[in-house]
Amino acid sequence: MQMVSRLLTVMPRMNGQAMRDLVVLVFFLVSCFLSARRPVVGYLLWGWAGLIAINSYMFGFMTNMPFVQVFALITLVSLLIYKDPLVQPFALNTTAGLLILFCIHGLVVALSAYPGLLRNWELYGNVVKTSLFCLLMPVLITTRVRLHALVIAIALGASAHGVLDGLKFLASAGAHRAQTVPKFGDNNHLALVLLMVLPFLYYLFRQSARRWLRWMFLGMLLLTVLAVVSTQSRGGLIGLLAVALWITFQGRHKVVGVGVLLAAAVLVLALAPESWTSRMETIQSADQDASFMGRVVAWKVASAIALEHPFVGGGFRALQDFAVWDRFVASDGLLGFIDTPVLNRSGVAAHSIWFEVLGDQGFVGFFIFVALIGNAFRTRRAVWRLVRANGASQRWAGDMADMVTAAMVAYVVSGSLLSAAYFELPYVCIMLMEALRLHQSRQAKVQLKPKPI
Amino acid sequence: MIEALVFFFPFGLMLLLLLALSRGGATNRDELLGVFEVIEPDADGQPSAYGHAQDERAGDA
Repeated sequence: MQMVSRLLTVMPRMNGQAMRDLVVLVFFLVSCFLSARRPVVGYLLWGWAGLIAINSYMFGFMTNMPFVQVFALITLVSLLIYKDPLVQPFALNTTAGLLILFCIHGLVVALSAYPGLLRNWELYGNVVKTSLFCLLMPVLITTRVRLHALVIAIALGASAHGVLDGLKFLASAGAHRAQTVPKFGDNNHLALVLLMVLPFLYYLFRQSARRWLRWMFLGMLLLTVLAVVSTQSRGGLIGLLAVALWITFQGRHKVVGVGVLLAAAVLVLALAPESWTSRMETIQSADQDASFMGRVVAWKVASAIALEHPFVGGGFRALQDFAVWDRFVASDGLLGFIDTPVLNRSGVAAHSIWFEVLGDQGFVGFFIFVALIGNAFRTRRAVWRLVRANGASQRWAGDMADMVTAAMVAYVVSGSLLSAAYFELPYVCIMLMEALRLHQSRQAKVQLKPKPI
Repeated sequence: MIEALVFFFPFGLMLLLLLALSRGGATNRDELLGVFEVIEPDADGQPSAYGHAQDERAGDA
């Protein structure tokens, strides 16, 4: 009681930041209470908190609160304590198998890494944590409602940054340049996160029953598109085009889709400042662009490391270690056919998910990574096969699979020019596809079961 | 004030979602998502925005 009365005395004197921390504390306590009672609630909070990166927006006593870890712990404990009838036993499937293989190989990579790599174990830890979250997905996310709830949690978590930056972009008549939160990296990484969430928002717009909710998700989608523009990321623009084209040509309203695309392009061109248009124009002259050619040098170094250590690579973030970079910078690796300038920098990031994994984990890690991504696209076909067999009532699952694929297309296209191989969202998408397939396969069994007379 | 509203917008929605999921309570049934309700398929199947292309490719499969 004393604490409450003290709080009530202090509250009027609090500034905005402290009030924000206080509100988040209340939210946190309520969330912990709800998660302790139901593991699936904790699981959704775990995924949501990782994407919204709450700590980046806290400046008071909640700055160092380990939200994700607390939600993860509560989920695991409540999963052990409470009996959830909708939980499915863990069964090994291709996606889970590849993910476990990726973790085991990653451990060997981390153990045999070049000495002195600053983020070697940190990144391996991220891979393990992400994998744990993903491996629990088919166990907890077992019904349509839960799959839908997970999509909402992902959309709310990742699009929060988009909504904020989109509004700032509008309010400044296009002058705002989005600044990322430290968790994601730079503006290009933020663009990737926002691109990947666009299909989820579109799915929610199409699938939500309530009209106001549909409009809300559409509004969030449009603001997120503007936020992608405000990042001034060239890779982001290419990714935006790829996602838009994918959704348009996968849909049945292709002509309408093309019309919306053209209208959106006109709107973006009208709103975007001159600095944006001149930066985007440099895409045409990438071969003369110092920034792009620097990436090609990094790819040469990454592939040279892989050729030297084909089984284990150089270790997580080996490329960004000055000693490792200087050792391989003179090698052409697999890209000897491209002439590159001499770089006056050292320890440059890989700037491509493919070359990042190749340099960090060698050819073995690279093939597991490619298999994981390829498996997501393959699983989508399996989901559609099951959807067609299960009937029109299950069509939502096919639609969800298509949207997860659109998010993966964004990752593959934009990620090809970014170091984002260990970012959690693509792995979540890959496992979401598997969870969908498992759900549809259970539905098929239910439909095959003879009905009692 | 507007900034605070925008900032807490995803928190509010998330709380709404969690409360909806927790409503199952003792029976642990979570068929209802409250405001986040999804569209239900009609007799001819749910209208699909993006699944149509696959059906066309699949023919009568």
